[in-house]
Amino acid sequence: MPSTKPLDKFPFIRSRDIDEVSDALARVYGKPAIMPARGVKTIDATINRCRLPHTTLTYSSYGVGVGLDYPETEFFSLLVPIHGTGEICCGPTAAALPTGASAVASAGVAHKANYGADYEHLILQIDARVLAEKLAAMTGAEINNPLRMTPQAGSVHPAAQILKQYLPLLAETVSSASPPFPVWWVEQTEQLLMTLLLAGYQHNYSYLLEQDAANSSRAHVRQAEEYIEANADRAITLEELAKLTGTSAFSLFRSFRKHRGYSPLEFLSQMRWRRGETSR
Amino acid sequence: MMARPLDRFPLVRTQNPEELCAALSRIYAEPKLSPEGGARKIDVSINHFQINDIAMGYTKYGTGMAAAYPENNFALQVFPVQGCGKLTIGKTENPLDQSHGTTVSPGTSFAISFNVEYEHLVLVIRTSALTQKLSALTGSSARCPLRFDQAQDYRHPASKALRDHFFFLIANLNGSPSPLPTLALAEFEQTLMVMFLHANRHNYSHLLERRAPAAANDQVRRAEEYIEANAHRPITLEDLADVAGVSVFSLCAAFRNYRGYLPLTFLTQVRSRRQSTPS
Repeated sequence: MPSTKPLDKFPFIRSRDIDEVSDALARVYGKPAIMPARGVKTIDATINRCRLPHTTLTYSSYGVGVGLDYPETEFFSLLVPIHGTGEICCGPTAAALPTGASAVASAGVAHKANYGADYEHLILQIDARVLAEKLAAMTGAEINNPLRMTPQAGSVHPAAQILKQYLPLLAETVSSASPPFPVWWVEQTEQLLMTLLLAGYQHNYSYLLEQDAANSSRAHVRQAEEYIEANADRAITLEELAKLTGTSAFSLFRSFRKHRGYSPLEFLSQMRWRRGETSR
Repeated sequence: MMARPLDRFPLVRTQNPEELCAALSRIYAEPKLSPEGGARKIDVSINHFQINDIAMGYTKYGTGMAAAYPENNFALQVFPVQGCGKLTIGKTENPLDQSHGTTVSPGTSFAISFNVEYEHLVLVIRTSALTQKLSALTGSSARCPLRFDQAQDYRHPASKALRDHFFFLIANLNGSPSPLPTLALAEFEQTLMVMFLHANRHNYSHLLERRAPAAANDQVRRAEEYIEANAHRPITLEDLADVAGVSVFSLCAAFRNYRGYLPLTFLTQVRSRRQSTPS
């Protein structure tokens, strides 16, 4: 029985011919150069690729040690090794890719990668334009300079940890979906992937997500609480509260956590459960 | 001992039925509990974690039990992980075991009974949030109350996907050394609501299903019909373009646009689906 690999239902290429694999990859990446390890004449490539509207899930293994030279692309790539060891070089920094690690290659940045013979990985690719839109929505900021992600962070953020573990589950889920899950299901899943990527990995806009807005003071918290008390009977979004207090959703969170120890929406939920009880 | 699901978020640990009732009534309208054989001895562990509009719970009673719950302002779905039981709504009895669960519609009373080994996880979604999500997805407001099919078979791909994602989030809430950022939790909450509305059939399912085909154009539909009818024999992209009456290039573009995948990906899926369902 042939062994099954992630995303086998979405075959992209199975080939031992370097040129054939190179041509296939060129359909995705422009023209990457493939350099097999010294003395190696053939490769044994298996690439599966599941396209969603703005993201792509890929599984790949090359069967021999290879180096790849990727040109600039219009998408961000998150590499999650599931077997063996590789490394990725974006500019001067090299990041090791043992199983259990992960790394991000930014859109618009050419990069090189070396994969060991037994290396296999999952790649999540996200359209750069859509990711920038998501970032703008999360922070309320204008994204004028292109988003650039740090290939690998020193410490692993919990959102990065969960995203890394989520990719195999997502690969399994899209493989078992028959008929394919509806577009609205897929769109929400893409939102989740983008949120986890932006929250979990370092980039040139991380400070917007992290800044402990000194200007978002107790007054903002009180203002939000009063609004919640007055409107608990209808739907309240975090964005609405942020707009009311003139801060970003994220800084309002931080203020609540700092001054109250819970989030605005937790406060809203408590208020609702409480009212639900007393009205009975 | 292995940590039980959501152990980080204990609601109650007790052997006292009154204490149990008091704890439960902080979340549900007060249930009526009848331990098996009138036994007064229970050994209950309940964990409970709330995001915003979604709550997730773990329950083990350590005794056979029957409980009647009055109406609540949320929908809930039961995912048994150990033992077995049944959940009764009106006159309909639904089995509870590791591959079968039950969904309870908003504002519906129900009775649940189970054996001593029984443990379950439960997903609770506030009615207002669920209705709002539904309206956002269908583009029209839901006037009649949401009514869900009761019986759940977790071997079905969409139900399994919901359960896998729900369990995944629970495992990560329990296992993560530092708490997940609230923005990430809120996004998971949205994802679970969308999956819930897809995995559970309800009185608005037809509106959600209509959305996808309505968005597709005739070319895509004609090609899909042809694929469904001819999947057992070789099909080329040119065949499909002929059927759709457009060029191969436009057909692929239309599929990308309306479906997010290519015609031959759909063919592969249809074929593998048929292989996995014995005729």
